[in-house]
Amino acid sequence: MKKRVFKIGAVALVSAFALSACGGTTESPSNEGSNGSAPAAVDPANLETEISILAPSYADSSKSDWDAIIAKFNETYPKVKVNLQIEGWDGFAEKISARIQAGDYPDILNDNAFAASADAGLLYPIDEVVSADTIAAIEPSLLANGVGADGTQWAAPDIASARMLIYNTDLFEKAGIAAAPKSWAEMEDAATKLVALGDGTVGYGMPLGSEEAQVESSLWLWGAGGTWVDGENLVADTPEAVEAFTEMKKLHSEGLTQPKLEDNRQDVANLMHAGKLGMIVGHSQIVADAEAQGINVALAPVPDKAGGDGVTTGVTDFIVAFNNEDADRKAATGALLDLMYSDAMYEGWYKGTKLLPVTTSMIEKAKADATTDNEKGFLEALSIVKFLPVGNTQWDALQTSLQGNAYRVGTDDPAALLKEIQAQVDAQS
Amino acid sequence: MAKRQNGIQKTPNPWLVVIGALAIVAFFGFPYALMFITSLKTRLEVTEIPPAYFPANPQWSNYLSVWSSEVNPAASLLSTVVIAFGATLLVLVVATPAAYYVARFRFPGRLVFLLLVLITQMLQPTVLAVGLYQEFRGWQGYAVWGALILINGAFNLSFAIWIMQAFFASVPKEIDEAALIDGLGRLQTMFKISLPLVWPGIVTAIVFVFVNSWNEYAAALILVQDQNLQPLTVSMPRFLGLYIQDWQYLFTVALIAIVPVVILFGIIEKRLIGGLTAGAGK
Amino acid sequence: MLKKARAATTVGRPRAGRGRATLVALPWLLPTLLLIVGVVLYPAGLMVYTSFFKYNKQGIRRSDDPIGLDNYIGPAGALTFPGVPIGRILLNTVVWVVVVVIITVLLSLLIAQFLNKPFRGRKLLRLFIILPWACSVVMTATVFRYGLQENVGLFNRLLVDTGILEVGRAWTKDPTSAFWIAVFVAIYVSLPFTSYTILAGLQAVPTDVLEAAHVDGATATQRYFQIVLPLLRPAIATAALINIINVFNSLPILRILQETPGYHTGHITTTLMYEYQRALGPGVSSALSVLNFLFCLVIIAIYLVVVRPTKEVD
Repeated sequence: MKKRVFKIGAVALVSAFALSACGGTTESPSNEGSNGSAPAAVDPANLETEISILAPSYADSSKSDWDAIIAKFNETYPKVKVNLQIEGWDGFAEKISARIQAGDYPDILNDNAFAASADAGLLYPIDEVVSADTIAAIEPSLLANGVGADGTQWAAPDIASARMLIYNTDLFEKAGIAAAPKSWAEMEDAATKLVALGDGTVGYGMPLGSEEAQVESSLWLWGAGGTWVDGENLVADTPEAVEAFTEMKKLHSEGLTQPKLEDNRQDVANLMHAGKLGMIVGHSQIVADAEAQGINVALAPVPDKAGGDGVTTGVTDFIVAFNNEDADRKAATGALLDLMYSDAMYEGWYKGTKLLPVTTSMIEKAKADATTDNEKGFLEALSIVKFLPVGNTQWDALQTSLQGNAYRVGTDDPAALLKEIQAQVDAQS
Repeated sequence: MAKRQNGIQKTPNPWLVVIGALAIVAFFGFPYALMFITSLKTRLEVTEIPPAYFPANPQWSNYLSVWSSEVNPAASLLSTVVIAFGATLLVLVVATPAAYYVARFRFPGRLVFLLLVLITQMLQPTVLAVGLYQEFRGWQGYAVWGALILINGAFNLSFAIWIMQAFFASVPKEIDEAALIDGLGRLQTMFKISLPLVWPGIVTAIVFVFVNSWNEYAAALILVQDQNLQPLTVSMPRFLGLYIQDWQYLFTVALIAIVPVVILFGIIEKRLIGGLTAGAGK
Repeated sequence: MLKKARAATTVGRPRAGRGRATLVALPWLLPTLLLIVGVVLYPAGLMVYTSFFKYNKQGIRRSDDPIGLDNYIGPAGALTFPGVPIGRILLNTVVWVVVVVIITVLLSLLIAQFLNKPFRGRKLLRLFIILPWACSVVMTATVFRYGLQENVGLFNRLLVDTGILEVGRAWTKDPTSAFWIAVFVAIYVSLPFTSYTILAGLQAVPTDVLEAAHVDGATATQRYFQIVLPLLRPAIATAALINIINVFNSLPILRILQETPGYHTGHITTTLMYEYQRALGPGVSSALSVLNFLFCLVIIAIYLVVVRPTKEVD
């Protein structure tokens, strides 16, 4: 069954291109004066309206986690009716698409993308809906991920996950590898030694299936010193990308990766949990599951070409607020979101997702509560992570094309493959 | 091979029966055996390498704990049952007169009608989901059951009409005419005389519509907003979450959901045999 | 008996003139027509309309005016999008429909013949064959996918342990092997319905006719081909017709069993349409849906001309 996977990120740099965004396409109803706080005239006890929330199911408890926030909200706003709709990953995008096409926008949407809706003028800038205090509570490096190509804060991250190199320390010891690899050369070396252990041991897990391809290929691209972003556009067939794909192909052709590059994250994670995989780039749940199986793992930054500081990528999901042209609904939306991001409510909510928090106070608290180095490692990475260019409207096309084609690097010529990816992106613009 | 005994009510070769029965049980049972084994594993066992043929410690508790999971299979089961029964009933009410009339009379537009019905079968909720959403988005709360009953009914009409008209057509016209002469109206004739004679066809139609409605996914996914009203097909995939996948629960519910269909089928099968004996006596 | 059955359909004559005959028919057909027009044709019209406008992936309309045939044959059109092996996909579609339907009907004839015999426990066996249906197509396809996983799949382990394979194979990650597995599963889930329809047809075959033929010295083979099969014709023709349409439109089986992402060589037009919906939005996917519908219409027209399932009733 296909899972819809929510992984997001925007290169923080995107905000630097704010000025180059073409004006006129976005008809934001923004009212500059009210920036940062809900309309003051509202009396909570008498605000009478109805708002709807559409959110994905992160874990079994997602519905009750939202219900807790809504119940608390209704204590202050008894006359606001909140309709909560939680959907599974499978079909979430179809559901959103059907609602948007029918012009039936939820007031609050928890999603992994915002650029297209922002570009079409369907959203409120999020900092116009929630209070300035709420915006200030969110870790700045993560908040930047919700900035569109036009420099507007369209979305607020609500949950994060960092991706780091996870390696099996027992296998490393057995293979006589002293430290986590820092450069591509060291990585090849380590992978070769791991594979030499035999018994079906795989050196590096490279999931280029439709779930992870864009994350995995971005990491290699960044490792080669490249970027997808070229001014206003996203470009796939750069020399750095060719270099990155060539290196990926090399690892595969030398038998250092799992045989099928079409594998998704869970497939390679299963290898890790079985103690048959040396290295994988992954998130905290893979570590937790591995430890539950008695596998010892440690974290490191993802190696880059030259052996510098390495790269670490982050993924956040977002809260966006649709503009339904109703001041009462907007006020209620803002008040509910302010409540959600408050420490008292947010702690329970984010823990229910089994992912990492986005507010500075909760990140600090989680660090203090962390019992293992691995838990702490992911949290510390949050302030230095690099994001995918989700704020760019072309990212959808590039991401889809990477997801559909990147695995072919195992059989095809890297340059030709990237050219084809570029052609698919170009055809849509 | 099996043809030798064909049709004549002779008891077939017992060895043939045993071999055939075993083949059928093995062929139609093996995926569900895997489902059953997996449903007894723990979350970590379902992704074990290599997979175990049998769980070390069968988790019979999965069959209890799944009911209290947030996916709420009990509520979904109710929705599925209501929608499937409703759609089946709707199709019977709507399709029977049309099938009867088309089988009994020739009139201008008859073939056009039959082809129009056929064409609707070529359109599936999957490709029309967005249009259906626009049409029925206002039907929330329990009204969504009504919407899904209408949708499942409409998309399954064609088979019911085609199969029933084929069966009606095979009932000798003279039987109807005798009833008409006896003073029964057209409608009464259909109900009292023809219907009992075409039970196999009607049962086939019922089963087809029921099972298709039981399995419908695309329209329900788009339309139902209240989690507790979602049918099983939509709620079950929620067991496969973002970072945590509960295959064991998924298969537990999938197996539980088989039971009502098999029971219904068992009941209907009896009616089918009864109808046949009645038909044979004509 | 046979003659009687045929005659039955031709006796019904309209009581009055042509126009009035249609009018008299209307009350019987009206509920069907209402349901079809209201629930099927309305959204279908919308689909055609959608195919002439530009949308982005999220379903937001990006053009005020129609864009002609761009969604069909433009730079990002359904038939012309770069990297899509469209010829191969059309061929796959025909292979998919023909192979699945023919094998399904042949196997179903065998199964129905067997289950029509009087023996103890046949009722239980009949319940067994509906399992793939009762368990829903989606779940059945899902369990096959799970069992065929390269490392965690139990079917793979079984194949390795019995010596058929040396190492587990990622069946669902190769477009070609996944396609044929999907063909198998599609046959598998079509068998209950088809067997059942044929079984219903078989039970309507009057035993007195067969016994008379037996007394007249006809062999079992003669009886089967000269009496049973012709009587089964309407049931088989209808079952095959519905199967063709359903198999053609079948999305979940291939969608679940094909784990290769993108526009690979294992698609059929229906799964390509789904891929477009996710990647290119409703404009292009509606365009392909329209083409898909016309394609299906052509296949059905060929079938109707060749098999003439309406012969009996016409």
